Amino acid sequence: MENGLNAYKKLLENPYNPIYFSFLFFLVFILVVYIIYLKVIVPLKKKHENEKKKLEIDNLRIIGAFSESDPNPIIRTNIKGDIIHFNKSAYNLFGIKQDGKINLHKIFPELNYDFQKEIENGSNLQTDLTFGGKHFSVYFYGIKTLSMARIYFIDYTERINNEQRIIESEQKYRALTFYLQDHLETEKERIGLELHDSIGQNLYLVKMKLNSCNDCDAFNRSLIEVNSTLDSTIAELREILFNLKPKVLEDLGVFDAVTVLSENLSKNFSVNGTVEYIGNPVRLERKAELYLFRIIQESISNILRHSKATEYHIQFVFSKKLIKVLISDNGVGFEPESVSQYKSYGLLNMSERIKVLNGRMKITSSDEDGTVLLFELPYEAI
Amino acid sequence: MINIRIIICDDHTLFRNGLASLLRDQPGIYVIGEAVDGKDLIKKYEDLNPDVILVDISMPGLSGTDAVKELKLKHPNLKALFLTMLKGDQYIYFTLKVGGLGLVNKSIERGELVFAINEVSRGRKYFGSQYDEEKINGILKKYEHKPINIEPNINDEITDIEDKILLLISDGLTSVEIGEEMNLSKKTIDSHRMKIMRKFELPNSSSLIRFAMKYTESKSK
Repeated sequence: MENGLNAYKKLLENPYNPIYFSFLFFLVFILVVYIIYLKVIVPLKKKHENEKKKLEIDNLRIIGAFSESDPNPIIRTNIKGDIIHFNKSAYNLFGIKQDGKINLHKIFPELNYDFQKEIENGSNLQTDLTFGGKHFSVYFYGIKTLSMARIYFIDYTERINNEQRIIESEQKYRALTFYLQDHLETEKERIGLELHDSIGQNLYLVKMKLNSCNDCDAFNRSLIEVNSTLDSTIAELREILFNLKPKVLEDLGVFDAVTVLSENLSKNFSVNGTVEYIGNPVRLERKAELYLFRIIQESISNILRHSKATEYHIQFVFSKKLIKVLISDNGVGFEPESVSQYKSYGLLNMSERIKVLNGRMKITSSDEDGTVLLFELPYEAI
Repeated sequence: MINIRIIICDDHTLFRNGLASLLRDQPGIYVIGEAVDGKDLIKKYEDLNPDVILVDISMPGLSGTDAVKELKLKHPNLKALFLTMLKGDQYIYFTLKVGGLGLVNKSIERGELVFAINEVSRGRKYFGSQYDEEKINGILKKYEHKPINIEPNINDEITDIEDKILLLISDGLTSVEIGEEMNLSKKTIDSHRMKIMRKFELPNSSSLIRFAMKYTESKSK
């Protein structure tokens, strides 16, 4: 054991030992590799990185030149959120004056980005912002390599204004439609009243006077003739008045008015109609009754003109909170979509009137089952 | 012959005057007052206490029927004969409901009007020569029982799934929409619909919807 150890020591002391040489050679090799890395690879890498950064800065400078002339505000911030650059539009719109001193959050408290995190993640974020009466879509781009964020503000105030204008003109259009409809109804009522009050009463008076002298023999023959002419004139007048605005609607309500309408129509058309109700009939506000009546009148008129139906049923349901009206026929049906494109003024008018009463309207139609119209009007909205 | 004291109420002066002069020649009938609207009628009735009032149904302000309704509360024996230019059984029912005894058209001839006034003054109903007691009762019955009702035993014959389908049908939903609502296929819904239609002898889908609405309404009570 001791001999072995001595032999090993001897071997190491020998300057021409091959193990010693190879160890030395290895050390020299490592040294050379290290020097090459330090003097060649590191500077090359650094140069490359510098070039990359320069390229990016150049790139940004070009974008910067563009952003300067961009009509939309563009702001750049550092990793803390301090504004480091902004374009002319941002200056004009937001009144940003000094570089590097104001934090973005101070101007726009709503934009509470976590700058550090979002820049490091290179996030793209989008939020909406209202500033000084203008609406902006704000786009945030985190740029990790430059440790900064680029924030674009796209002004869409004009679009909002246009949308508002469309809504307003729609409302105006609707209001105008109703003004016209109401005006038409008032006018019908006025004409009706005038016919009733002047012509109607005069006719009755004439008839009464004629009848009061029906003992006079000399008049008798012509009297009968005049009498019957007067009767048919009165009947015609009554029909005109009903078409203008049924008195029965005001006196008895929409259910009775629809019943009379249907009875009158079945005299002139070969379509059989029934009118029924479920529940306890409720009188509605005057205008609501008139609208509902007109809607039903329009529906029946559609059935008579287009459906080729031989019968129709109208069913009123007076529920606790709403009134339902179901109008069904056994006609050929139609494609509700095809007439809903504002082509059918009748249907458009119906749906507009229903809308005003806060109700809803549902149409199902097929050539086998005919057409079913369902209206629902809540009492409280009426 | 008994004397009948009447008040004429109509908002049209010419017609009212004409009517008054027509009746003035009639023996036994005395026009003791004229009223221009419902309010005036109430006041004149209290003052003059007539046997019969001849009153126009529709007048601006307080209508004839509303005035009679109000007067009836204080004077249950009031005898009112209504005048109208409108036609329809509804008006007969309406007149009876507010407590009137008769209704005649404004184009009535003198003889008939006098007859009507006499009938009403005796407490009898008059709605024209073609309306006898039976017909009047028929109208009363028709309008009183107008609401369609559902047979009470119907509920027993309807299964839970049919109940749900009927409810959705009454909301105006189509088979496809009902299927979506209930997570069932259109085919399943259609077969249930067919079953209900067969069970209650409903000839088409329009009658099915009407049935569904009746059923749903009767259930909600």
